[in-house]
Amino acid sequence: MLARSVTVAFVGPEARKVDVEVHVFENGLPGFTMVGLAGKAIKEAEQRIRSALECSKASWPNRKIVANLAPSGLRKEGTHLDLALALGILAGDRAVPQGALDGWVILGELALDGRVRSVPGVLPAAIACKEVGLKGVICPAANAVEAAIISGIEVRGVPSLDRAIDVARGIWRPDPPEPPPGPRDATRPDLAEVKGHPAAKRALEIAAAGSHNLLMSGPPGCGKTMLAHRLAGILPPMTQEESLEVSRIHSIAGLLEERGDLITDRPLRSPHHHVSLAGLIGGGTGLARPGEVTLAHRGSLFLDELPLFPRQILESLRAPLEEGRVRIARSGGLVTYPCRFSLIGAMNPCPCGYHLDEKRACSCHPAERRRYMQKLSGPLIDRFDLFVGMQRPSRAELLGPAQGDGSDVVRDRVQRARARQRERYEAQTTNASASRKDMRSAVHLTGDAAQLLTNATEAGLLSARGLDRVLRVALTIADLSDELRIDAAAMGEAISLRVSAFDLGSAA
Amino acid sequence: MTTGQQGSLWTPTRLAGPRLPVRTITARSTEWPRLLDECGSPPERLFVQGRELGSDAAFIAIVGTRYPTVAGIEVAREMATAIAEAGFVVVSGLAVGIDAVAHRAALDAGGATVAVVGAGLDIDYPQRNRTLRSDIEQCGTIVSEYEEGTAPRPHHFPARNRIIAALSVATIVTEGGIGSGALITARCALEANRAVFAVPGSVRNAMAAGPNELIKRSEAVPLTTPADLFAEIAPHTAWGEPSEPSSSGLPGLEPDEFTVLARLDDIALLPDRLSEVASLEPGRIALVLARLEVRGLVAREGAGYRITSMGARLREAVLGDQAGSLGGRTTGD
Repeated sequence: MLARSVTVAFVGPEARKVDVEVHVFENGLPGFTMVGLAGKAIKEAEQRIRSALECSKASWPNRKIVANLAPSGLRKEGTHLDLALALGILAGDRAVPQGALDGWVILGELALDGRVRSVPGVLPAAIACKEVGLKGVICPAANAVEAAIISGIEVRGVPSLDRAIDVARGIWRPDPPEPPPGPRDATRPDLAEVKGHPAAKRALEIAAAGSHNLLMSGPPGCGKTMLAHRLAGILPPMTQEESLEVSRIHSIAGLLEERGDLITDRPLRSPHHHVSLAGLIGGGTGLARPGEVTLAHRGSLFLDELPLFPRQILESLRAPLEEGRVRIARSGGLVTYPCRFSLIGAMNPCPCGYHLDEKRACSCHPAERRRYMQKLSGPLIDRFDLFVGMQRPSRAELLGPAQGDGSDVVRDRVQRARARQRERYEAQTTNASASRKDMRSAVHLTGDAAQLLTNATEAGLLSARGLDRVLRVALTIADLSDELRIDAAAMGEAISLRVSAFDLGSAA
Repeated sequence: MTTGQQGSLWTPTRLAGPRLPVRTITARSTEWPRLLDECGSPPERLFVQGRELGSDAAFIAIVGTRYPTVAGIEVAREMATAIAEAGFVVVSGLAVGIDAVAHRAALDAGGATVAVVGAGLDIDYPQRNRTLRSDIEQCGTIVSEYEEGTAPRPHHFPARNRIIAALSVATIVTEGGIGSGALITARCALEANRAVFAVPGSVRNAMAAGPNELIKRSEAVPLTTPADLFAEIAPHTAWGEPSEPSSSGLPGLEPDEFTVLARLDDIALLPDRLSEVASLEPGRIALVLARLEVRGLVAREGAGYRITSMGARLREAVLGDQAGSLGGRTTGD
């Protein structure tokens, strides 16, 4: 008999509906054939399903079986189709009623002993289920909480094939998935915990307000990582839509399982400098996995020890930063992942880290220092709007009380600055990402500010690109001070925060 | 000193393109500078390209490290410019760093310069100074003790340094660590009974250790302005003193700007530290630094700021004006 079940295939961050058609023939030599561009892991499904069925209350029909995954032109990868195939086979064999499978999106990987293993991507599958108007999701028990995030659909989390069969036969229903533990903002890091570094904290605030990319330089242990971790805390909270978007991506990467609920904090990714190209941008064999840049979508990507990243890796960031999305080529076509993130970089001023440190002398040979700096020249440096130096806090500072504004206070300021940008540009554009035309038309300088800018250009401090970036930062500073015009103070601050290749290196 | 690069792994390349003719000169040639004979081990012969050396020309050597600080570069440039403008010839070694700065400044000032190299005249070393070399070939002279085809070897450099010292009436050591080639040149100059000058530097500047040591040992005369040089070796020289900026001539410094300027030296300081010591808000510091930077009075180094020569002069001028005639003006009385 011909039976049908529904599952999904993942294309980028989305799940697309896949119809599994299973024909269990009356005649013909026993055997199993699968068609429909199934990837390797899916081709291996037969063995898993056979074994799982052996261990369950039903059995593998000793007939000719053909399974088709439609649409046949769409590449399918992953092991999550096991359960849909198994139930489809059972329905084709009349071991479970066909009607029971109608309206459900089914996913799960089968272990040889019949257990249903958790799979990534259940959240986007649930979203797809709702979008196409199906009834609900049958998924691994471990993923049930994920699916339950989406309202308006039913969720049946099954721990084993036996239980899945029971669900299909209508004789068992799992308990509703446990809601996740309460909101977790107890442990969120606060800016006031960072002692000292007024200039860097200010730069962080400006970075958050205008979504500018920030580069910090300082000796080891001075607090660069601490500060990077606090950027998310001063950014406006994600909207429901953004939360869902981010959770979806993390679900596909298999990162949602442990948490089980919607991600509400902006992600912070800090890949090590040995990260591979595919790990950073996305790709890999088979399923096009989201890379670090995509996992950082709506959050920040923190590159610590920036000069230690191979040039090629840093180059590969250029397009994603510019376009806000990554396109990965696959034989079926292009897969697009979003990647709008803030870039934070941290570096030592030299290989030993103590150049410009007041207490400890730099032990680097000048040629070493120059080589180290040269790694950063060019396109990647262009991506940073803000450059700030940090020094090791003094003992008094470290032992003293918390200083400066807490994250809440700063976040309020940031949100107000963001509100002005929302009025100024179309949706989601910030001073950093706006087109040159839009940004320029928003710039109004006082006489002093204009004079300072002219002087800076004439003194050779600003290239054309540098000028553009200084204006963007000055605009953000004016937004933070709630000023309509950019005054000399804002311009001066923007000029002193600029980054240029020359400034990074030491002399000659 | 060159290290590592001259090992067996590195093969020198020859200069490409049409070459200037090479002259061989000896003590018997008219071009032979007389001063060369007045040193411990004068060269037997020299290979020369470009302008005639001229036995009467007055040569002044400027030497220093291959890795100068920005302060060192500015001083070398200032000295070389003054020397060239006064009609003297700047001698150096065509190395990267101070040598290159000195040669370039002399050329820019319209003067002649002599580069003494440690390899054959057809060898492209140092490669980074290829353009400078060809400019010197046009307006100055390149000299070598070595035959064409000779690669630069470590022991060639102290040897060429002695020629630099022997050629010159005075040697100026701008920056260099203890044990650097610049100090070797100074030693040769002392042994040949020439005047040696050294530019004192900040105690926190590793590259000032060499000149500071020479001064401590009374082997070199401290040199802070070209006037010091000319006073010693050519008191009757007419040379154009750069006009001292007085705080009445230039737009003045605002109090905050002066406060910041007073706290800077040539070791770069981070804005955070400056705002502490100057007791100014971080926002205010940023504006002040930007204004100073734009006027060329401070310069960025990494994420920090240091004072420039011009900034130092203006600061001196302001202090001078403030304290009346007892203020610390940089020129002698």
